[in-house]
Amino acid sequence: MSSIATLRWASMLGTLVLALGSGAVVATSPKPTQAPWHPAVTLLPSDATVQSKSYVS
Amino acid sequence: MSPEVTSRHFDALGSTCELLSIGTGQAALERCEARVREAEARFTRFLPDSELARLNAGDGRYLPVSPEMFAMLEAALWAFEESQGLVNAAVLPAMLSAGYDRPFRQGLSEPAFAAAVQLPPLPEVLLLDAATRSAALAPGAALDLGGIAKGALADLLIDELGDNGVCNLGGDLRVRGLGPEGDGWHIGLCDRTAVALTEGAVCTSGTTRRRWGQSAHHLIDPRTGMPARTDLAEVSVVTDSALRGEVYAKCAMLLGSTAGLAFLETRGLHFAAVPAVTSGDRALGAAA
Repeated sequence: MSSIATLRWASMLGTLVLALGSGAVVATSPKPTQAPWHPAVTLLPSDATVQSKSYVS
Repeated sequence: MSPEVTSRHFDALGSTCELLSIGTGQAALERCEARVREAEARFTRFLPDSELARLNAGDGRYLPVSPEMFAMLEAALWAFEESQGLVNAAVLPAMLSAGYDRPFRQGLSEPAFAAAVQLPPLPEVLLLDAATRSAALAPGAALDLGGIAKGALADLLIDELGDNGVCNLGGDLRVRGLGPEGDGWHIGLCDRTAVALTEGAVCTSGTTRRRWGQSAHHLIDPRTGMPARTDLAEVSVVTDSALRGEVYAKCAMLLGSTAGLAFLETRGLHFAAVPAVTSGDRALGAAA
């Protein structure tokens, strides 16, 4: 990282600290906001018709 | 007589997408597809004028971002926290080092020497300012939002499909409603078992697709900065949201069969896993 870029980044962090100090809202992680709930899962027999599939893409 | 299922299939987000619904017409599915394509144009790293590409090139400056991008960046930070750093959107430099420098369909080549890339924790390099709806990435940092975007979009777009549909974005799918047989939508998992769900999500992660060269694949382990070495080939997770499912499935893959499956069991989730077939010390993917 160049020294100019480092200074710029450090300056931004300083600005952020000032913003926090002045009460400005800084976004935090939002999604999903709730604790997970557990879907009702019904296991199907091996010959069941499947309408869609989860797969590695 | 089963109700008629309206369906639409298309390629987007680097994979195949599938929309199913009962009680809505093709117009609703077309609107949903349009939103997927809009999101793809915004979140792709492969188009130089995409919003993500501009953010990646921001060189430390705060840039105003769209509400959609801001929400996705918040989701990326959530994913980092939820996974204790295993799902790190700042993984792009390591993906490039492994040779994933263009869309997969264009063909990738494994570098003769793929250097491990030390990846910074996402919260240290991604700063968000809600007051100005702007974001800054530290110089040298770069994001890939591929998996996170698919999961988050499936959660968002299920609302477009009414109260009885499936939004399957490249295997990250969200389900709602009773399906055509009245007992929920029947969804196949990676081990060829199937479940019926009336509400929830199913997501699969793995190393069996997007492989190139001798051993390279797209699943980067942030702890090593290299394609993951894991004794699992694929993991499917059933949970409440596709974003959470995407994150948990990836965590399980990276942690491996012992710790990874324990990770899912302690959360009380239904899951399926396929072990990797090994040759020497190298995992080759799932048994077909």
